[in-house]
Amino acid sequence: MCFDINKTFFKKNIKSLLFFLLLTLIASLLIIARGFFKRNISAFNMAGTAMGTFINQTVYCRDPQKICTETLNIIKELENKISWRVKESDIAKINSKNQNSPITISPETLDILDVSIKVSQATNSAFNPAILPLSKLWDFGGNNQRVPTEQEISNVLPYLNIQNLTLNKSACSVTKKDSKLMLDLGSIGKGTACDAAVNYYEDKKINAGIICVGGTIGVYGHKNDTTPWKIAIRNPFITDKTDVSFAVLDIDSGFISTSGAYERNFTYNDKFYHHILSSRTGYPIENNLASVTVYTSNGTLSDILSTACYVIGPDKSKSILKEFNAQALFVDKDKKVVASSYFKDTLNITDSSFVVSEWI
Amino acid sequence: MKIKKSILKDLILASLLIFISLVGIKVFYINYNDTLIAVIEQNNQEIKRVNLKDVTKSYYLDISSTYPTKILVEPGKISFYESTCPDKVCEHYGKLSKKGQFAVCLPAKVIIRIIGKNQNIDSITG
Repeated sequence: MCFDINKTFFKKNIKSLLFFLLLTLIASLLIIARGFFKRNISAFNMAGTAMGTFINQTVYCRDPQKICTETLNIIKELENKISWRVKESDIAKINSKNQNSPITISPETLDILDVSIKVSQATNSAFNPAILPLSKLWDFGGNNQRVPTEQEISNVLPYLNIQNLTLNKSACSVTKKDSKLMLDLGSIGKGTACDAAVNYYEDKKINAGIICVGGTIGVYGHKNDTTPWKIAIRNPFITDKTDVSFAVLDIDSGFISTSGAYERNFTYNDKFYHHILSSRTGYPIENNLASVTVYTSNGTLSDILSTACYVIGPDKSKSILKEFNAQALFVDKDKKVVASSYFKDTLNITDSSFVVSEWI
Repeated sequence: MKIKKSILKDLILASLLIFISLVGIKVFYINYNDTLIAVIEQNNQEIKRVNLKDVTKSYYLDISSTYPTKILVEPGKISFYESTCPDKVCEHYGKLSKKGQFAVCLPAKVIIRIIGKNQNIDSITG
């Protein structure tokens, strides 16, 4: 009896029942589809080495393998222009020539030297591109890494004067006033590589991309969901028990570079020596800083400023950061953080043993 | 009344089945993503791949090179343990345990990276 009545009811209301079921089905399909559409262009990751360092790219685009491979090639070509170790590079050319004769170089190299000299002058050579005679003695990370003698150091100090290099922008040339002046752009090459990569991503109009060249980072565009790029800042005091980073910074564009004593160093006779050298004394900078992170709209500049600000410290950096339109984060050996107030809403400290002690 | 109740039950059952299958699909995706794969590359070529979630006992990997290097593989973690390289930068990258993290020994030309997208981090400064 019930059965029959059910059948009749079912037949009568089949349209509305099917309609209801169809609605539920569509709703469920939409929920699944939304999940898929969110990843319509997925991330492609490629790692490699160039410029003597590790390069990691994540791009969001069509034909990502081609984009990443070509970016690596661009960086290798850049190395051939600005590395003092490459015999035919602009820098090697400058280093080998004598004083008072103009040396023609590529416009890209000239631009790098221009901004290097500007910061060098503004910071009293806290950043010094003419540091090769000194950096060669120490050879941090190389096979001849050692503590030079006091005599060796005092011998080279007079040749580290960047004022002895003049630029001729219209002729695209430089002239040395001192034959012994020699350039080492090792500390800024990574930023320049990031600039080249981001320019290429832009040329190719990819959706979004992020490149890490030996720890200097450049970003382009926005990922699928338009959230900011999340950049972790390396913990200068990594141990087996800690996380590799202590904070995360949200950025929409631009470049980030970190300088720290922990990057390249060695210990000899119980004394610790790191690679950020003073052009004045010839020895590693001794201060209370563990690392400095700089954020700005140009990669080369971010590298230059992270070195310069490490040397001069947070107080003296305030005017330099303002002059060059950059923001910074200073971490001292007590895990106290001094940060630009620009970061107030975008800096997230993930390790509570680090504390922001001052906003600048 | 009786008739309407049983139709309602059918509808509820149908909707419940669809809901359960949705949850099933979501759970499937979560489990599929629940691997932690570390890739070891030398000279830009992959030489080994380890799922750190499958590691129950720690062990060492000896990588031969101009600068022989020892990698420590632990449950959920991987790191450069010891290297004969001159700068020892690799030994200070810490223990890698999350997707997107990496460590490099440039002299030995060895890169360790944990692949897969880290939802929380896009990159890490040097």
